[in-house]
Amino acid sequence: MKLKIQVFGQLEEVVGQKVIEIEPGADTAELKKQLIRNYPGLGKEVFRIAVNSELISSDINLPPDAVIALLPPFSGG
Amino acid sequence: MPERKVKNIFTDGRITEEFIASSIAKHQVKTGIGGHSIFLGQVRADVVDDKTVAAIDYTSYQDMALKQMDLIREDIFAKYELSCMHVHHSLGMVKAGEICLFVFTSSKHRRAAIEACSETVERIKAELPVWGREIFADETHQWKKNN
Repeated sequence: MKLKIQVFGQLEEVVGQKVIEIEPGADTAELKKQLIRNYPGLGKEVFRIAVNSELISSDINLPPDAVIALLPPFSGG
Repeated sequence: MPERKVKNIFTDGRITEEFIASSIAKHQVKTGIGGHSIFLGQVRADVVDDKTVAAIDYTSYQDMALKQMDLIREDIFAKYELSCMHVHHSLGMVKAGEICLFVFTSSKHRRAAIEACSETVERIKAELPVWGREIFADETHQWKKNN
């Protein structure tokens, strides 16, 4: 079952979609490698990964049914 | 005791002057309040390479933004003696000159309201997953960068 990843801000223009699907990896380090392999444009972008609405500060294992989002630098307000 | 439900801070489009005025009016009955502090964020017609920003289109990872705003609210109420705090942020298109952010704090004595309002604004801009796409008059765009 592929992992659905929500893509926000300018990253949506880089990958061409709001939601992307990739093969699940065991952890976020593996996820990042997969993302850059499938979407090389992401390699030039600054972004953080949120797992279940929490920003991760270091690589973690992905819980089953994890809700994942790629977040470029915030620019609200 | 301040309420701790997850509040929806988002409004479609601009925040109107009428809404701001009615928010102030609603506090008339709260006669323990001695001071309000209000911050209004307005879309600025920035000029970039001879192109002028005509509007900003705001988007957000809303689930996470609301959770994070709730945490900010908890922290601010723990730190400052406030009677209340209201936060409203636009989503979608807001034209230059229109209001896109409204932070409103109230307290018995003014210092708490003033300092809480200021800190809340800074935290919103730093910590909420919200993005602004700046749209120029020629319909090209660039992505806003906060500082």
